[in-house]
Amino acid sequence: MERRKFVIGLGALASGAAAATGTGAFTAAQLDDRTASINVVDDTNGLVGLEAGGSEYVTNSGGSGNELMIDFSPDDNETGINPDSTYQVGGLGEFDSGNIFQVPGDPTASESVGDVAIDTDTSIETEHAFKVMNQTNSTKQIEVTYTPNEEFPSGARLYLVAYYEEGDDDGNSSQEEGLVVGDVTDGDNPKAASIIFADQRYSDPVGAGDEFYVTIIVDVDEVSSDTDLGGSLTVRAGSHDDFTNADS
Amino acid sequence: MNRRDVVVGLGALVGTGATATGTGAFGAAEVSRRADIDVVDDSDGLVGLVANEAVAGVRMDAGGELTVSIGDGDPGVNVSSVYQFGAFVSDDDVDGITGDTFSVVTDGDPADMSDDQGSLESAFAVVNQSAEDLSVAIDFELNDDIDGNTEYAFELQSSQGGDGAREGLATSPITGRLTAQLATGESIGVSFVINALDGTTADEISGNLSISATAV
Repeated sequence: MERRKFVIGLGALASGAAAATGTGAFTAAQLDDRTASINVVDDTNGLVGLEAGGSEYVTNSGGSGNELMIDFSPDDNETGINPDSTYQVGGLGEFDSGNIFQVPGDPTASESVGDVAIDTDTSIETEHAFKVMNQTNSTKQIEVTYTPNEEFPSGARLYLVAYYEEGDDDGNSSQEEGLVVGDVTDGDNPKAASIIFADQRYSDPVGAGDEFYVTIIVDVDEVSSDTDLGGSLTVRAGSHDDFTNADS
Repeated sequence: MNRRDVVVGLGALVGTGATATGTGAFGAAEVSRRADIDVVDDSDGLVGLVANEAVAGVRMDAGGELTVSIGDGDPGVNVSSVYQFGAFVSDDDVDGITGDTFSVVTDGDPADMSDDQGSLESAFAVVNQSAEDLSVAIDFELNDDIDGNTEYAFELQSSQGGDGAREGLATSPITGRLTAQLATGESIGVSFVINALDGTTADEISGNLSISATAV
């Protein structure tokens, strides 16, 4: 076969030259300079964004000054949670009056969020500890887990309660999620150990550009005053292999 | 001689001050019009570059060129995080990049383009849309002067006969090249992992990916 040959050169982006050449019979092609730019950013600007609400106890000043952090001693003056007390950061106003008496996610929970909550009127959209934002352009499954530094003693409970406005409100309670650390649920309940917005029962994944809000409740009995309730939050998103499957 | 329509993938111009270069090239360009040569988006090129629409930051820019743009004004990779863009065939030799906290998402045949976007699990794919077998090379020209300790790994994956295979793995700092053979209609994919667990917000991975193909 006779080869036709023509070479085409076309220019270029404003910065740097991009060129592709091809021969008619296509013995070779070169596609240069497809740009790659990947930036590490503050939590608020992440593809999965984490942004503190208005409380002084939850900020975006963790890590090197750009990570979400929960700190009940923001001035390092060793303030914290009193024994025999309940602290709540964020509202629960939008919560369904029935679902709030689950963790949510575990009907056997005792005490439930509804039992310990001290403000169920304030809007969580207005006041929340932090929010988790899907800043990608496609729907994403997102889960939040909490790994305590030490096992919680009896009588100490931490609740992270989440509200996703765009979740299914048609009897599936997909708007409300929650996790609890401490002696609250009977045995291992994956649904109660994780905030799960996913393609699972009673749950919906988070749409592109959508967000969910999280309120924190710390509820302690007469526990020792040196009790450490700290830990680390882990946010998983997408088709993560370690994603909790509460349906299994 | 068999006449074929020849479609050569080229990027279009964007922005002000951009200039088309090449004097001889322009004469050839006129010839090419008579020969029915169109400039098309990357996705339609003889060497097709296809962004996975479900993967953040990998897309066709306004000029029809594949770009990877994560952060840089758009949402990016959080500090103290690990992100994976597209599925890997294997998590072998990626442990050093992902740390203990993250399990690499794997898929048997991520570069499968048999159902286009429906079957593609790679971040982006290179598809041989020409009539000839190709030897394809992807050159990574990425900066290695990252201030913090952000690390990354790119996996090149082939999809042949319904099976996926790792063709190569390149980890930071990369100034390397991955190669694969590609028959007509076959595809290779690229997926990548970014570990910013010890990164800072000054970290930026930037540079170019160049794809070259030679008939074999």
